[in-house]
Amino acid sequence: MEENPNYLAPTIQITAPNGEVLFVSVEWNGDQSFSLVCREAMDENIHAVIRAIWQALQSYPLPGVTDIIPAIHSVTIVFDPLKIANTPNHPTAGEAILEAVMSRVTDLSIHAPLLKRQVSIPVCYDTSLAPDLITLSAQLSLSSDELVSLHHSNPYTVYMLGFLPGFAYMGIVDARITAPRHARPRSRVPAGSVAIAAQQTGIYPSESPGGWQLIGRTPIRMFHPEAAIPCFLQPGDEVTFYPISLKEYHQLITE
Amino acid sequence: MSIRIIKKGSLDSMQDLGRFGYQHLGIPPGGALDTWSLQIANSLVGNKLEEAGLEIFFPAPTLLFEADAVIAISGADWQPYLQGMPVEINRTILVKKGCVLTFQHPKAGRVMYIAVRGGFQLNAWLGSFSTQWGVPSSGFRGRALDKQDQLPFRDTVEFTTQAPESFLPLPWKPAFKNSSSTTPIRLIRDTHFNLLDEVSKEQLTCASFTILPPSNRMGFIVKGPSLTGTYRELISAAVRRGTIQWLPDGQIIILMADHPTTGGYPRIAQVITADLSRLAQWPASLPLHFEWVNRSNAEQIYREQIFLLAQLQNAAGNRLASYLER
Repeated sequence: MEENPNYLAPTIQITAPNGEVLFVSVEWNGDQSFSLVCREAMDENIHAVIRAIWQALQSYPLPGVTDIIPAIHSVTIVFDPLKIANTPNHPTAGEAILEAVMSRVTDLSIHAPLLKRQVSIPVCYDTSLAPDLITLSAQLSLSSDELVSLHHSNPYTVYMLGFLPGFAYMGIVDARITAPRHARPRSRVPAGSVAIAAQQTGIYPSESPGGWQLIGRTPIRMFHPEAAIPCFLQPGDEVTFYPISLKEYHQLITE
Repeated sequence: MSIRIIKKGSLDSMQDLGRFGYQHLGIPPGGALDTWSLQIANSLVGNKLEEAGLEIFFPAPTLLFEADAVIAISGADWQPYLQGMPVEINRTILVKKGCVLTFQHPKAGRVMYIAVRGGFQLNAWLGSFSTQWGVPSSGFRGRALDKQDQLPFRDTVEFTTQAPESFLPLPWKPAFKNSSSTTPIRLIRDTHFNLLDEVSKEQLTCASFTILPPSNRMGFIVKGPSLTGTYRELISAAVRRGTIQWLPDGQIIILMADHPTTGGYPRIAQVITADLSRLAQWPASLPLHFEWVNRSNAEQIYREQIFLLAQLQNAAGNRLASYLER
């Protein structure tokens, strides 16, 4: 079965803050979704483009669009075709929405530097809350202190939320502390666990199974369903971790 | 003014059509596994299509009606009995206070829905009544239903003089079938289809697949020929209900209602929206086949489905009026 050539979607070019021209193409995901996709990498400039697209689409409601999901190198648009008037110019509701989306992201200019919401998060790196800290530092030929210091010395960007409500994929971690996932995930990772996987760092917002390397824990509640904004972090935030003692951790968690 | 669970089932929860608009925060849409059957049940009692209903897996619970109700049971057919008398699924049934509803045998289907006229009295979390597991303000306390739980109705109903002593199935049923057809499940190619080698591309629509028992609300694990090609794990991106992911061992998983919002396995195809409910009810004992369809047909089929639901809702709502006091 061949798709009608009329369905072929345009590729657009957007200039990233570093001057790199990034190609953004359209990929269809079934009959009620499509994605705008950049080069596949976790990269600050790609993120700038993804964020600009996401913000441009969020700033005015698009009829029929139910979700706009920014990820590391893509933005996915989910729509309800019944909310779209079928026009003779478009073979499906998808094309009508794509046209509206494209008109908002073509000629998008990205202002450098990117304005990011600044968020500070306390982390206790005490080994009693960091089950992988000692073995991982040994594997990486670092002392625990060096690993911890490399983890909190640089700010991170929230590239995406996914996996669990409020789970932020942050990057990019220092090359000296990138670490593979566990071959066998733990069945139970406590809420608040701060972890590393490949070039990403993240915080488990609720207790769940998980395969990332656990190097600390935060007393901050990352997922708070009763709050007006239920997730502590949002895509595009800039996060700085700062170390706290075990005593401070326990004080903060009871507050 | 409620239904009471007098024997708990294996996984009973409150679900509507899902929670949209929060996937950028990692909050999944969730919702009924078979949205078609939930909407049929809602139509038959004159509800809005998106009203929340009771979703039930087998072994099913035993339910006690603590108030008069107008109900419909749809989806799986597990031989429902009211007061020890068999009743049909896909019927509008007037039920008097004190009736007990049981299910005898998993004759067909994977998941069942009960709608009550006026809906259940639940709090919405982020705009939806669906259960987000572990969020107490969603669904019914954010969890599966337990023995002695009471599911309150939003409205009271009063029957007219034609009222039954215990229950009365009303004399109509929808002219179209449940989500029971077993023609191939229709797919649209997704981003990473071309990572498959030529043989595996063919196999996806020529071979037989089987839905394995660990399949659940999160995803269906589907066994078939091991698919080969230039496999790689990817930078994570959004996934949806119906996304077919290619796993490192060559098998596939089809994401269902409780899927996470993002994933890093290759996405080789997407089940069309109109076939998701049929897939949800697909018998484990029956081979599963896939076929390609284009997006334009997929959308047309979806529109026809929703049109049928709207017709049914309209017809059932009108006929029901004469049995109820205003």
